[in-house]
Amino acid sequence: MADEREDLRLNTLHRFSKHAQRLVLEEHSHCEVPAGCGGVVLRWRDPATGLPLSVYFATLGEAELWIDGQLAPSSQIELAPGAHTLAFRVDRLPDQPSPVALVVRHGAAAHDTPLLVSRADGSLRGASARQPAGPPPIGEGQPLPPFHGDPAAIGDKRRWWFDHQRERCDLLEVPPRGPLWVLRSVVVDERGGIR
Amino acid sequence: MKPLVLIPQHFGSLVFDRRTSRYLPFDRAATELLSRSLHESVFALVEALPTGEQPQAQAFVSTFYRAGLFDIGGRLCGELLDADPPVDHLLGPLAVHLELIATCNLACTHCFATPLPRRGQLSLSELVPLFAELASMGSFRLGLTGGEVLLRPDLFEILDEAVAAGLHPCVTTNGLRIDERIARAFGERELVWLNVSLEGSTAARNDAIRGEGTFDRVLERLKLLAEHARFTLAFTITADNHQEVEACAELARSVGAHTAVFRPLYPVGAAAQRPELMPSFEDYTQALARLADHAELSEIDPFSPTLRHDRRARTYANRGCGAANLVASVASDGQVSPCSFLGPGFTSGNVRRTSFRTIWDEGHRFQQLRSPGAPGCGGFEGGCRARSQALRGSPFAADPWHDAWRGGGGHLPPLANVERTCGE
Repeated sequence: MADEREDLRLNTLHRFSKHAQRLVLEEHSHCEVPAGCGGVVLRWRDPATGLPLSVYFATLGEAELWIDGQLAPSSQIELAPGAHTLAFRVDRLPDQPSPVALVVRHGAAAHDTPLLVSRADGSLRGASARQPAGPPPIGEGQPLPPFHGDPAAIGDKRRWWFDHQRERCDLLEVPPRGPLWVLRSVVVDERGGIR
Repeated sequence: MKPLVLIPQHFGSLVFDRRTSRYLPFDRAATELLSRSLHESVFALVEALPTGEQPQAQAFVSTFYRAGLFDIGGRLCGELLDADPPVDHLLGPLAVHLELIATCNLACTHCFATPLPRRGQLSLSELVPLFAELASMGSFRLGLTGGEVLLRPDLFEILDEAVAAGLHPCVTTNGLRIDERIARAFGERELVWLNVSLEGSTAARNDAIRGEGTFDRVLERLKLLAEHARFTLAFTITADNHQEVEACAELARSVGAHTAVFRPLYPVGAAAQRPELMPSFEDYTQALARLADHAELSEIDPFSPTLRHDRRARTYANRGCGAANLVASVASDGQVSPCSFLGPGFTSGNVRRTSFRTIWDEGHRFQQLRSPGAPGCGGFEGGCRARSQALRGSPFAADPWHDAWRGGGGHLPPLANVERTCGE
């Protein structure tokens, strides 16, 4: 099979299993500019651009991430300086409790201290304690009640996901009752901090 | 438009990331998982695997979740390109270099595009179907150049049609025709690169190549451009300017460029008649190393056949270069070749008479450059065939720069192998 040929170098299922820090391989289209085939690009970071964030969210049902009322197509987002509302829409599985857990990291730092982490009391460590004003961005739903349940008793099935992020976060149980909106407000400051 | 496109390939797939304009290659097993995750949660797919297979799949998913391939529910945030790939080469080039015009308002002494002017250019109505065909082949990156592209009055219509087709255009200009209207028009469009070319950090150095008064006139235009658009200052490293790359980087920052690009001079076009301008391999690599060490910089994004070892994939096994494997070139009159640097002898068809896909798949020169065992291979094992042609007399001979790189152990200074972004 071509994917086993030693003369190709591709991203494979096993490439990252023993070396978690191995870099993702890219194929470069480096000839697309007139004097291609070599060189160097220096890129200045623009402080006006957003803070890149990786959002890790776990539940056993379906989930969506909404940023300021817009569906986020990816778990990797950018937040410009200022106040924002993160909304997680969770379609809970019928007749069974849904574990919910959340970690938000700086996008460029895989293993730094997370910026936001869900806690068993319903709070997000690092986030504003106040709920955002107004209704959820779409559909029916309600602000997240204080989390409850026994984190150790649920969520084993998806525990690997957060283990891979090397982060201890609580798995939080919410009652099996219709779609749920998890809403949290965050503020990104000019220096790339979040609160 | 979703962020990703999953492009089937003979080895599995390439994923094009519209957010970064980059391609990630995957083998068949990984492609199977990614394809299924278009419709199912990848978390559930991993959990359904036999226990013994789960750890590696979990590590894979974690890695590419961090790379932004999935939404929070575990679905691949992309779409599948419906196409049957060829069995031994890519469905389409990753980037196409399109010469929009063969006329220029400068006469640079090292211009790769000479002779200029040349007659004939593809019209907008001819370009539109070409753009659609490129998109259908997964060839999303489009480098637009000339001549001077701003001499085409329909440049922005061309850009809009390219973007509408799903392509990611780059533009290279000498900047002299930029005015308020043009600067605004650039600023209103999403370009991968907007390159403005200079040859040094001073008028004396630049104008020796690009003509008297050019440096000051371009800097004047850049003030307008910086008010409206993100742009790059593009420098060609020569024997004359390799010692001032730090000053070039500082100039780029001071005029408000978002990036600075440095590439070596290639001995093609007019530069083939100016061997004294060619930097040595040592000049070039030392210049890159000094840029990497520049105190002001915290990130560098080098691209070169000999760089980026830790990140560099390999999607072809013929020991060639990007020409015919990763890239192709379309001249202003529609002639297609594997690389614009290789000259008219490598023309393999014309898009006015033959589809681009047919030329890419079946063009004589394309097939020749993909054949590692063909007669006359002559020892080329990487680097740049145009350099081999100029310095060794044959595009199939070994590239002396590639030899020099291997002679040095195949290494460059460590910082030249990593991707970094400059600090505020």
